[in-house]
Amino acid sequence: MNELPDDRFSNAQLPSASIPDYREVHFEAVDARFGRYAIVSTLVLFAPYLIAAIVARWFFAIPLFAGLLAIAGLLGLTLGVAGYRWVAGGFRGWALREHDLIARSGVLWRNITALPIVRIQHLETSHGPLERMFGLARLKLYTAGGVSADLVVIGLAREPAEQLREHLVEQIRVRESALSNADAENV
Amino acid sequence: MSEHGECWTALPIAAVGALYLNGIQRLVRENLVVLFGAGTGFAVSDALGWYEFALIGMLVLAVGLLVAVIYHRRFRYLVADDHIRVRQGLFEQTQVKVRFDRVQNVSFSQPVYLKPFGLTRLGLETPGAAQTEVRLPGIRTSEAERIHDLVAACQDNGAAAVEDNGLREPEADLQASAAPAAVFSTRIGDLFGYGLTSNQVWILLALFGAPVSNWIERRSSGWVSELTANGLPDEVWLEHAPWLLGLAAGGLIVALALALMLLSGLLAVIRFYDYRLTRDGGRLKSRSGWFDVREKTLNQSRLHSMELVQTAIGRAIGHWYALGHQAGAGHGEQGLATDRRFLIPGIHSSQLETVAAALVGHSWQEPDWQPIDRRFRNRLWARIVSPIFVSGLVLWMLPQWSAQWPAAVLMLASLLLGAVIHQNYKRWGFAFDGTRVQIRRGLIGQRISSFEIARCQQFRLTCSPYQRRHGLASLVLRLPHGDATIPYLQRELADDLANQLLFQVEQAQTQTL
Repeated sequence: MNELPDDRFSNAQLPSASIPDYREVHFEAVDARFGRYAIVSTLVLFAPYLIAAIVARWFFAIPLFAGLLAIAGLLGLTLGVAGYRWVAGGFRGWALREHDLIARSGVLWRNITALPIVRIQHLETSHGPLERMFGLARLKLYTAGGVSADLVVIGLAREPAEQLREHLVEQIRVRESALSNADAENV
Repeated sequence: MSEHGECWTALPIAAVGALYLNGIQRLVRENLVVLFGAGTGFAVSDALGWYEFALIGMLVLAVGLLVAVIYHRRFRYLVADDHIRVRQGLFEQTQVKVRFDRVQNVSFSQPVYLKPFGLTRLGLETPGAAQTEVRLPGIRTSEAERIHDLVAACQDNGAAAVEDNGLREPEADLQASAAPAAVFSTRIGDLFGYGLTSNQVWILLALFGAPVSNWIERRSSGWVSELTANGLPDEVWLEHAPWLLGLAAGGLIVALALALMLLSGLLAVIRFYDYRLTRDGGRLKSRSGWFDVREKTLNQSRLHSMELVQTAIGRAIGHWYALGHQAGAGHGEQGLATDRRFLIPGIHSSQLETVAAALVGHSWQEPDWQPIDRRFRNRLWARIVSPIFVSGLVLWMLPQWSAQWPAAVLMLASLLLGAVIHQNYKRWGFAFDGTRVQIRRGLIGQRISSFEIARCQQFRLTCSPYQRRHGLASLVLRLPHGDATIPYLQRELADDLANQLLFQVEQAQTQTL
């Protein structure tokens, strides 16, 4: 049976006090226009269903009370979702540290996601028509092995989003260049 | 560039047969359900006879041969000292270049039909690619060995290593290659046990269960009539003994399940026959197979996570299997043929620590598991078990309710569910020794995930309102092959683990630079 290379393994205790605490970060709020964007995008999302309900009431002779109840229910749901997303915007935030990016989201179920910059494989900013209308953008970050974006920071103003993207790209470029130099020195 | 890498090479002419058989094999494997359905359609259709069936079959086979010939004519590869290029495609030609230092897994395979021609299939996998990046479907075994050596030399990171490997004599046959001492090897009984415990049984049951049960249903009334005609049982008597029919049906189901388990065990023996795990420096090599000899090489430095799995049946017979995950192995990829995970089957409980140690690269033993918070179980009891039990109790107490057995069933089911939830809670456990995170979960069986925290890609902390009230959080650690979750941790501990993760990932990178 082969000998196990035990000498490769180390398991030294780390001084926990010296480890930076991610809870000490100050989260940047999303852009002020995000609330309006959340409401409008929800209305746009639900509009086809509302229109379909109104048309159905008109053409299929659905009793007035039942038709109005269905439309009011749908409208209530739309406003409820829009309101929730507007409130959720206030709970969203992001923080950039020297070595990682942290984002938080959620009103009832709260999430905090942290992605070390060294793990980013590639990143992109994107903005749909509505986001463009409100001058917003989203930053998508991808790591190895993932099939979709591992972290999406939404509700950023266009300019800070681009600055953030350029900063991260520069960090990755510096890291890769340093890695190449280290490899060359090793060879 | 070496003398080998100056020109594009075609596959040997004998590889056409390999391509043809490969194609048919893949067609059958990927469309098993469709083919089974088509076969049933032919069997029951009056419009199509055996002549038409044979004609269509021959047409499909002829088209397959034509495709194999064209594919062979257009397939070219070029091997240089530090990379390989492959040009292929039926209608659209694509060219792939893979640097050997990026290769994380080299796989050899020698099906029984390639052996007489001295050919081997070779696959090179890189991190980040969803599928095997380069696949040479039939090259000379000596050429496959040479490519393997070049990959090894590049990964050993030295020109001298390339020279040394160039002197190595190519081996004529995979079977004949010199075998270093095995870290782990299996006996036929262990492999049969693996077949019994693996999920192959359920795949087979899904494939054959429905058609067989339909067939039994169609035939059962005929059998009863035949038996009655023979004067064995009386139909009236049978009507008064429904349990006998139930017993017969149950017996048939058990017999079918046993037959499938037997089949699964035999398939495992054929697939992993003479399994040997060997170590070659920083690489692990597995080699197995009866008709199709497969060899897989795993660069240990690229292994980011290990899983040890014991199914419910595996627990009864003391059997495990291990999985090594590498970057880019795909999320939840389950197909047996396209599986890129490094699988070690048929591990007896007494050998578990040896195999785990071989995978992680240092001694390993099962840690003292820390439990998750008991509110994980209490919450499920309150949300799922209690409503069912209370519903049963209310039904039981209703004065006008004459039949009380449905209420009793509801209450018993809720108690059983409660026991299942408790068992699941007891199985959850985690351990962190400052470097390595280990998570155990399961119900009757268990699955242990073990990985260095510095291998994680990111973390996510989630808190439901209930968890916030009790100072709890669930920690989701993302690894290149998927997520590992520790639910219902004390918030303080979850935060500490998260901080450790960020610190170790970032510190490891800083040290590299």
